[in-house]
Amino acid sequence: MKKIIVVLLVLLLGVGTVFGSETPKVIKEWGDPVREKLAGTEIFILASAHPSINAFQELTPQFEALTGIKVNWVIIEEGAMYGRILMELAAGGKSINAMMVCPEYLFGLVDLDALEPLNKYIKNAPAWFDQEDIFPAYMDMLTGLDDNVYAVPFAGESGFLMYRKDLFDEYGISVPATCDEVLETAKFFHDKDLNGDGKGDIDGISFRGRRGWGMNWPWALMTFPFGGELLDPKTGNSRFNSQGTIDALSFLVEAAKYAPEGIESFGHYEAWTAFSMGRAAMLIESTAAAPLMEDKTSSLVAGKVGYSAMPEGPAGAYSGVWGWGLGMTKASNEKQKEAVWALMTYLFSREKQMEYLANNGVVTRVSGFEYLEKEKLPYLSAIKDALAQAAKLAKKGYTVVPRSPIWMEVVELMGTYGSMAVAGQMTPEVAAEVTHEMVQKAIDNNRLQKQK
Amino acid sequence: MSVINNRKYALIYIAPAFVIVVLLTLVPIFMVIAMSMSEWTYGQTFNSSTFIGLQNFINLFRSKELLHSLRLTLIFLFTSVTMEFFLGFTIAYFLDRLNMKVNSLLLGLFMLPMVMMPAMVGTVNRLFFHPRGLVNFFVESFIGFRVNWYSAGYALIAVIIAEIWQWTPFFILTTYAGLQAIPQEPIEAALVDGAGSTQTLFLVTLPLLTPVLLVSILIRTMECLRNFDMIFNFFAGGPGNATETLPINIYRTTIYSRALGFGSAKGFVLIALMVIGAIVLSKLLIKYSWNE
Repeated sequence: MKKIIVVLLVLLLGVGTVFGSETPKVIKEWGDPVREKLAGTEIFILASAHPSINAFQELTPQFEALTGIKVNWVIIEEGAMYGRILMELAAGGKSINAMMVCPEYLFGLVDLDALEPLNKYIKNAPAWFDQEDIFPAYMDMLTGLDDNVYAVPFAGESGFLMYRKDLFDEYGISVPATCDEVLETAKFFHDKDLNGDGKGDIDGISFRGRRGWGMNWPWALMTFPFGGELLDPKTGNSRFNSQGTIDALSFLVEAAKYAPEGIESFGHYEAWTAFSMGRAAMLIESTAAAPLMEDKTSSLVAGKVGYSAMPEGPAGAYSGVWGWGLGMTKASNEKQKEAVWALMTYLFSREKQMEYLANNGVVTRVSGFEYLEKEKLPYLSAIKDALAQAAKLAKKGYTVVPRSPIWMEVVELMGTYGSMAVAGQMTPEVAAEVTHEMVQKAIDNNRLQKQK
Repeated sequence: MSVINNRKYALIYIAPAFVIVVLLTLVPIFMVIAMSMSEWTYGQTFNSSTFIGLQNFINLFRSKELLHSLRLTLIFLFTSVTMEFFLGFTIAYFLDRLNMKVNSLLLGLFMLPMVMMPAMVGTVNRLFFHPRGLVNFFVESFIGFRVNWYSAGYALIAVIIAEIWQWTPFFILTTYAGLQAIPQEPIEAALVDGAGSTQTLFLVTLPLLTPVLLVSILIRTMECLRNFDMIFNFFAGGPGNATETLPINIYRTTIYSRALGFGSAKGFVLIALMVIGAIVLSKLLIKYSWNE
């Protein structure tokens, strides 16, 4: 669906019917000296299967023909990425020249001194690369506390609320604007008999409750509307025992009562599917799920979904951003680093953006978003609102993924104990307290090791 | 050729295989021991690690998480292997008794779960055991209600069922092969002497089959103890820590906490468990077969 829309847009914009058939003059002018300097250089990029990576792979032959640089994409399973990166680094880090990174482990890699700061490269990038055009929130999530940019984003998302517009209209329910209203609405729809056969046909709400990389997302997302904190932005200490953070978890535990059976083991796939198969009236999820919900080939609720920014909590309405970027390994030699940057310049540029989008790449640029907006996709306005909510949170000095070198460990801890609370194995208060203690212990350990 | 010459040649012939086995097994084990005595942040090179003696092992005994994982691992091991053994043996025994020929089609069907990648088995079963999945479709049809396999109370049972589904065919095949290979004369003699089928099974067939069964149990014990891919893809150790067996706990320590030294100490515990299991089963094997 998304692909069709973008292709139509590109056609309307008159970019051409055959992508890449003609290299723009500016790129060709840039490519000649690059070829002269770097032709024959071979680089290895570690990545996982992702629509944007697929799009990059489609564009890579053009780049290779233009520059003479040989690009090898090493594609592995997403869940194995972090382990593989650590293994490569433990072995010296020279066999991989660039890697796909997300904010969760980016700062751990920075802590290991594994990533090359990209500031000098960005500063000297050609005008058609146009770094300013990339959403500042996405750039910001991959920027260190030292203001160095360690990766360039190629996929971004934020959190928002999806709801069954058709059912809301049918039952005269208005879109929940607050967290309390979300619970009330979830309760109203939970186990509702929609077809009159005397059996419940739908659950109130769906979200991720799976241990580790799952439950961490809704908990982090809900923390800020409730006025909680994950880490203290000044000291870097754990704040998982702050009242707002406990309240956020209590909200999710309460919401789980109106969620599909087994919510405590729902990863993003199960959470999305519950909604797309018409089994949930609402879904708190990442904006990346929206195109799937509107895809008639995989969703039973296409055309029936409404989208709204995150509901307001006692402390306000906030969302957060998350995404993937490409970082450069420090251990690479200078030629390889320049070749990696040449690749990033080419693939991530504003100039190549339409081809990238036509190949199903995820939008991270303001201009790309504006192109898509013309098609009046039902979720774009809510995504914009969610991005504004994320910007508001960033202004307060917070992110849903704090710039912590041990955040991968924290993800596992908050995901584990958060999931236990949702499963009813412990109360939200105990889960938050245990998480706080464990996270603080991990932070202290990390500090101790650094002192050594 | 003298005995001494025979031994000399034998040593020369087995030397390459011996060196390979040593390099592939003993060297990594010694490396794990060396790593377990160090503080090494994963992602840094080994040069940056520091020697801390037995500190990781001292921390190990204070770890409640490890005890929990150990308990789950043993439950998973004993339940899975026992069920696989009984189911596999029973099916193989009746296939043999009924003189059913295991043709290539039947063999292929038996082998199908075994040839699947454990990671895939985990992923597929995550779908099958979904509260609204295929397993509950049958459960609901037969007993009238659904089981929440995704809950903390049932997740480990779901994992054990998946493990049994995948590896029972292994016992069917090895036991059936064993039954086909054992001499028929003692069985026939027992039957002629008036022994019933139960007596023949327990007093003749089983003793003759013991070496095969013990080797099968030994292999499956080792496999079960180090099962990671299936459980990780199924529940990732969750919900909460309901399926966090030792390999998952080691992964979590090594990858997420980047504590390679502490993770190696836990790995050493796993190796020790496997060695103990192997010694016990090997002793039984020697007692019941090769020394006879």
